[in-house]
Amino acid sequence: MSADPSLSVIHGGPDPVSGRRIVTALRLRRRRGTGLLTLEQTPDAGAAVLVWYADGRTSLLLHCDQPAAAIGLAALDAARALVLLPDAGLRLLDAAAAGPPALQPLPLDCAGGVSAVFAAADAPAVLLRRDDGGLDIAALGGAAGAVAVTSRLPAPELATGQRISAVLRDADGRWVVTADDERRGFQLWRLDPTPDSAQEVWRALVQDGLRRYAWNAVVHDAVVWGSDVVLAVGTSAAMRGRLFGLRMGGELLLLRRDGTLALLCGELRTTPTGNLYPLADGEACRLRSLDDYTCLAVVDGRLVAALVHDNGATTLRSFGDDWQSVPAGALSQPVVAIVGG
Amino acid sequence: MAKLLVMLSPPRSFSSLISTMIGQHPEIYGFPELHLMMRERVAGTMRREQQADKFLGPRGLLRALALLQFGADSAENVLEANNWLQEHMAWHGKDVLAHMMDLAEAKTGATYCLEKSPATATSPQALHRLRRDWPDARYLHVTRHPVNLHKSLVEFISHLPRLTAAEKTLWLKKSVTLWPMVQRNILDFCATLNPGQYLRIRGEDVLADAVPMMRMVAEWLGLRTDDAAIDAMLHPEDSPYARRGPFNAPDGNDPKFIASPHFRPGLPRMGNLDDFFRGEHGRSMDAARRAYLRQIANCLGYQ
Repeated sequence: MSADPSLSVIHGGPDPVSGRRIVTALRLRRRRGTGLLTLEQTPDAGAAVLVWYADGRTSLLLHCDQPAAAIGLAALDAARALVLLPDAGLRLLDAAAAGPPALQPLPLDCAGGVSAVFAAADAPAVLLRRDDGGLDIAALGGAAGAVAVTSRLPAPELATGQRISAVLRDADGRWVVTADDERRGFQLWRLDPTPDSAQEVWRALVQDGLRRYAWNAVVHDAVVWGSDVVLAVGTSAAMRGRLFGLRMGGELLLLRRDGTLALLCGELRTTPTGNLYPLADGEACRLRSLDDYTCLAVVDGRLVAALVHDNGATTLRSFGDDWQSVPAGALSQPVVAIVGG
Repeated sequence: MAKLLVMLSPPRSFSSLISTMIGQHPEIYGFPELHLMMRERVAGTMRREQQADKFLGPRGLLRALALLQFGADSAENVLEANNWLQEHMAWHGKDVLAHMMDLAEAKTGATYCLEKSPATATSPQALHRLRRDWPDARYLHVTRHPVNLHKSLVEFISHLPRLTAAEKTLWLKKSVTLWPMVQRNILDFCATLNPGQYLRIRGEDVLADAVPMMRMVAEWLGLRTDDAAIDAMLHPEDSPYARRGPFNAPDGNDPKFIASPHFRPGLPRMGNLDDFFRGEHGRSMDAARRAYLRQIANCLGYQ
């Protein structure tokens, strides 16, 4: 991890000592300085959740037999995070609380089984997907740690193999939900949450120009940048395995406040409303070297994207308001998370 | 000099219709199938055609040369064009194409010349020559649903008079792998191009709603997008290569297109891969090939 206080880059590759590989990382404000919460894949195919202290020490919060991909990890605010365990429901970590960090069970009715959890960084709410396909909006309320389901959404039309990949609260307070679909491309929904309900504003299917003539079947990362939502989209490892050797570039898409979509980086394409040209100029507009995934973060008002290349090396590019990018660093290892702010 | 626009697609992908439509834009000259990139030099190109039972050279090349160099695509001028090619057997395919583009520009003032030879996309070597010889060319990739294409290909092969029954059986067996093989060639090739050099369209979208698609192609090329220019693109029958040529070079485009060259809009019924895999031809593919075909189809927007 870099020592830059405003930006931490977590790079992958198994730890030579423990054999663990970081999958997700969050920055938490602890009582004595800033720490990191990481979800790691362990050599025994299980998962570990750890807190990293500023001096390099770690504290193991959880180790379980489930693979890391089955665990959910999301920040509720600067000091609290939710951890989803497939068999044990939701747990809350309050890093600002006195005493050693610990995961507290949350009194949440998840009788249908919770399969995913996400949270916006600035919103005390989470979106839960039940195994029956329905969605629950759960809001934190009352005493610290109390969680109640305040509304239930109609079940989205998730086909077999589809998976919700990201949920964000955009600049207008609406929810942006993405669902991956390797056959048809990712779907995008917009929900308007109120204290009592969450109404569906619109649902953009792949025919609407999101995926047409592109590879973007899965959402690798999403972040709110100013008034836009930035989506890093591309291929899954399974797709690349089936088309071994084909260089399929990822894309950065901007979801605008008015619901329109712009292409920040990627191949130009036709859509029902006209050609979609990349906003970024030059070589940076095309992420053709992208082989695995892109991590996003907003640091000091600029969008930072980590582009992982075929050989595992990572290039960091920083985008400004004019949509143009400048190199922001390079690493010889694949980056798995950028923790900004 | 005019710039080069290349259409890449597997055979039976509406390429004759769509390339002729695009070639009717007032600032584009649309060639028939020239086959000039299939070999390094003219001699190789001519020999390849003769080995495919063509008495003279590529018919599209002969017709275009007869028209542009000798004034009309008559039988006599086709022979003149053949003589010209015989005299230039040592020329590279690039030199002949550049010569023809100069002629087309002088004749029509075209900004772009459109070359489409479906055979090009079947050969990585031909694609390599394109990239080497025309580094600034634009590439338009036209796709068609693999199930519909396969059906069209089976019909086409079944009616080829020069094939024996055994040859038809072999060609039909190969037909199921043609679509993914050619698409992969194109995608591998286009991944090496510069940003903005490449645009992909679905042939079905052109048939369903041609005006916006033609406008988007013209806009991409930086050409006129006014109504008159787009309307001209809806009349492929006005192309000199949309009618039957002389007996010694009768086509140069898909014979079915030449027999009926008008654009008839309508949303074609899309095939379905699940149904295809349950059918006779789909069952002949092993699981790995089916997964490969489905993955490329999904990536191109087909289910």
